[in-house]
Amino acid sequence: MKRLCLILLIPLLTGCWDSENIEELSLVVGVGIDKSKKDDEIMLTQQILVPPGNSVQENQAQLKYKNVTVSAQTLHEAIRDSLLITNTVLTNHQRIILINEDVLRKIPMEAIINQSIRDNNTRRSCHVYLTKRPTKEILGRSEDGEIPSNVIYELKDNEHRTNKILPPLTLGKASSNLQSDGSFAIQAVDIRGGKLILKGAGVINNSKLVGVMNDEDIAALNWLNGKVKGGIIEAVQHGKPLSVEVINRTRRKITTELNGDHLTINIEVGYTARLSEDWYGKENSFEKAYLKEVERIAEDEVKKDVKKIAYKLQHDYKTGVAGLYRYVQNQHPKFWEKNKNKWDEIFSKADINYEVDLRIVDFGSKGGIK
Amino acid sequence: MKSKPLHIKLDQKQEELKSELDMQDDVVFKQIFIPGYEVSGLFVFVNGTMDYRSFNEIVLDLSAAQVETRHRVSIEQLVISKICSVREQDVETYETAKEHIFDGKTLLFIDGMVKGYVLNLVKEKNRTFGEPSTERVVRGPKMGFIESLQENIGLIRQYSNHPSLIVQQQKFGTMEKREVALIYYEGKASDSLLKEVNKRINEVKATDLQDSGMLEELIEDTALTPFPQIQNTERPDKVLAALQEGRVVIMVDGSPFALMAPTTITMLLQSPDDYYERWVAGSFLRIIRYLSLFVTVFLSGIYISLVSFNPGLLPSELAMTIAGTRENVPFPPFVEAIIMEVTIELLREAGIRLPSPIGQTVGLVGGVIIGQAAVQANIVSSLMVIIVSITTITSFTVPQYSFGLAFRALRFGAMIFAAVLGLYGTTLFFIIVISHLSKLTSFKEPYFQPMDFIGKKTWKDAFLRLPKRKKGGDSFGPVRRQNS
Repeated sequence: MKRLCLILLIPLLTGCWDSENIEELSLVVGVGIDKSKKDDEIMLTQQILVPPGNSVQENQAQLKYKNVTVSAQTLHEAIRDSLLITNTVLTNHQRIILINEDVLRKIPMEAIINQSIRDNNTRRSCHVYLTKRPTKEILGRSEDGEIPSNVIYELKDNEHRTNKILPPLTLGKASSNLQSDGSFAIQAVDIRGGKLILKGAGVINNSKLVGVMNDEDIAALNWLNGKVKGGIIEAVQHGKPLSVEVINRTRRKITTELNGDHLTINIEVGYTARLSEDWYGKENSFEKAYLKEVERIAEDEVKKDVKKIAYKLQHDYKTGVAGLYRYVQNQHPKFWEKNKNKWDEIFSKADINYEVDLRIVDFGSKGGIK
Repeated sequence: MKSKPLHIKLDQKQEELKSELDMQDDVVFKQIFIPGYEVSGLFVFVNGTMDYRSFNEIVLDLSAAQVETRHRVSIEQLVISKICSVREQDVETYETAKEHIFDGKTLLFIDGMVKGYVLNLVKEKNRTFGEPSTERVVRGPKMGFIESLQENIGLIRQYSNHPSLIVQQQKFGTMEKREVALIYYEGKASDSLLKEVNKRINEVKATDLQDSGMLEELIEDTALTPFPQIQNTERPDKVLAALQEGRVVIMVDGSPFALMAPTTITMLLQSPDDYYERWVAGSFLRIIRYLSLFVTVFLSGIYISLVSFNPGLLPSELAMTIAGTRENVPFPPFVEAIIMEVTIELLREAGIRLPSPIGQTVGLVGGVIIGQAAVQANIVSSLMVIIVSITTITSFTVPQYSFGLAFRALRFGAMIFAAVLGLYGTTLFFIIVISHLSKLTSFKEPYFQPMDFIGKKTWKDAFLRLPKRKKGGDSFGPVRRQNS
C-alpha cells in the first residue's frame, strides 16, 4: 500500500507543465501576410477569436475577433512578437492563410509557407488564398460581426454549385505542388461592395506569381482538368440564352502521346447535365433531337472556353498549371525523368485535344408546348 | 452453574430461572393449572417473540384435559400429545433452557417432571414481499426478497421445483447465530467452484453478520479493487437465472440481498428485463449501458484534457464556445470539475439518507439551484455543469448499484490523470483500468470473462442481446461458459 501511494505521488512531482487553459490561449483562425513598409520585413496579421463572453447581452453587437498585426523578418519571429500583444497563440484552429500578391512577387511562396509547414500545430488542411488588396484590409472586413476568416473558408463549400471556384488549395497540397513541378493556380479573395468575394486566381510557377486569371478562366481551367463539380454552362440558341447545369462527371480520360519530343495530350470528359433554363419560346424538351441540339451547343461553348484557357496557359503563363504533368510522369516515366526540368517548355509546345461529352438527363418540371 | 440440571419441583425451577434472569424484564412466566390431573405447569418465554393465538390454543387444550377412566393416560403422555405439533426437543439443564428461551422458543415445565419441553411458537416478524426497490424493471416479476431466509428459500423453491436444487444451511456467528444458505444446482455448478465457496465460507464462520454485504467482503477474491467481485440481487428471477448458469447463490438470514458467485463484468451490466423485452430493445439498452459506463468514467477527464492540454482537438466553434463559458471562471478546469463532482456526490449521498420526499427536494435544490447559482456567480462554467449532470445521469444506468459506485469513484481517478497528463493521461488511465480488470478474478474465474468469448458463440450475450433459438424444454437463461 505504501509503495502504491508513492507511485501515485510521482506524477505530482512533474506538475502539469503542458497545461494551458483554453481561455488563456489566442485561437488563430486566419493569417494574412503582407509586405511591410520596411523593405526587408513582412507584416503578419493574425485573426484571433475572442470568446463571446458569458452573458447573453454582451453577446450581441460585439465583434467576435480581433486582428493583431506585427512586422518582422521571418514569420516565426513575427508570431513570437505578437505575443507582446496577445495571449499565447494556438494555430491548431487556423483555417486560412491569405498571401498578398506583392509578397509573392518578391518572395518565393515556398519561403512564405515554410513556417506553417514545419510547424506541427498548423494543420495541413488549412487553405491558402491570394489577395490583391492588403490582407489586413480583407481580414478587417466584417459584416454583422461575422469572422472574415470563416466567411472565406465557408465560401469554398459552394464548389458543388459553381465552377468559378478553384478546388481548395490546402497548405499540404501547396507544399507538395511546390516540391514537384511547382506550378498551380491559387484562388484569390477580394472585396466588392463591402463584401468578401472569391474572385479570380493567381498562377504560381516556381514559387513565383506569374499571372492572374479571372472567373471565366477558372471555370475553363476546371473544365480542362475535369474538376468541375457543378455550375452552369451559359449558351445561346436561336438568339436566346439558355443554361445547362452540370450534375455529375461520368468519365474522365487523359492520355498523353509522345512523338519524339513533341507531346500530345488528349483529354476526354463526360458529364451528365440538366437543362435548367431556356428562354427560347418554341423549345420542346420532349423532343430528343432538341435536347441533342442543346447538348451540342453547350459542348461547343465549353470547348471554346477550354481552347482559350489552353492557349493562355501555353502562351501567356507558359506553365502547366492544370497538373497534367502527372499523366506524363505516369505514362512516360523515362521521358519525364529526362525532361522534367523542361516541363514548362514542353507543355507550351504540346497539342491539347479536348473532348467533352454532355448528356442532358433531366429538363426539370417544365418542357414542351402542351 | 454451567449445565446445572433442572430441579424436579416447579417452584424451585421458577425460582432458579427467575434469579438467573432477573435482569431480563421481558421474560414472562405464566402458570397453568391442569384440573383433570391436578398438576400445575409453567410457560416461560420472551415477550414479543411468540404467536399468542397458538399459545392460547395449547393453554385451552391443556386445561380442558380430563382423566379418561378407561385408558389411563399419564400426565406426560397427555402433555406430549397436546403439544406434539409444536414440540421441538426437551431440555435437561438450565443452560440449554436459557438458550432456547432467547431463541424465541416457549418452554413448558410440568410439576413433578425433570425435563422441560421446547415449544416452537415463534412468530417471525417479516415485511411482506414487495417490489425490489434497488432493482426496478419495467417488465418482469415484481417480487423481491425479504429479510427472512426461510421465506426467501421458499420463494426460490416455489419457482424452481427441481429436486437437484440443493440448499445447504449452516449457522454463522458467535454472539448471534445466523443461518446462511448455500444454494446451487447439483450437476450445473462445478465441483471446483463448490469446493472454493465452501472453503471460503468455512474460514469465516465465526463472524457476526448483519447483512450479506459483510459476508461478501469476507469471501471475495481481493479487497484491493473498486469492483464488486460478487453480484448481489433482491430479485428471485435473477437468482434463478444465476442458478441455471451454474453459479452458486449465498443467502444470509436477515438480508434481502442474495449473493451470486462467480461474477463477470458483463453480468453486472445486464438487467433482467433485457431478456423480457424484445431482443432489439434489449441489445439497444445494453449498448447504451456500456456507452454510459464509459461516459461516467471518462467524460470529465476528457473535458479537462481537451480544455487544458489539447484544445487543438476541439472543433473550432466548440473551442470558441468553451472558451466563452470559461472566460470569467477563476479556477482551472480540474478544480472546477472537482468542485462540481464533489457537490453532486454530496447531494446524492444526502438524497439517499433523507426520507424520500425530502430527498427529492435536496436533489432539486442541489442540482438545479446550486448549479444555476454557481454558473451565475462564475464559480464554474455552464458546460461543466452539463458535463457533471451527464456523468451523474449515466452513472445511474448501471443496473448494479455497487458496480455503479465503483465507477463513480474511478471517475475521480480519470480526472486526476487528465489534469496531470492530459489526453495521454486519460488514455493511460483507461489502460490501467482495463489491465486491472483483466487481472481480476471472481472465485478464480476471470472477471473480464466474456471478452475472450469472441469467436465462441457466447459473445452474443456480452454486448448485445441477440435472439435465442427455441430450446425444447430447457429454460431460458443467459448462455455462459461452464468451466466444468
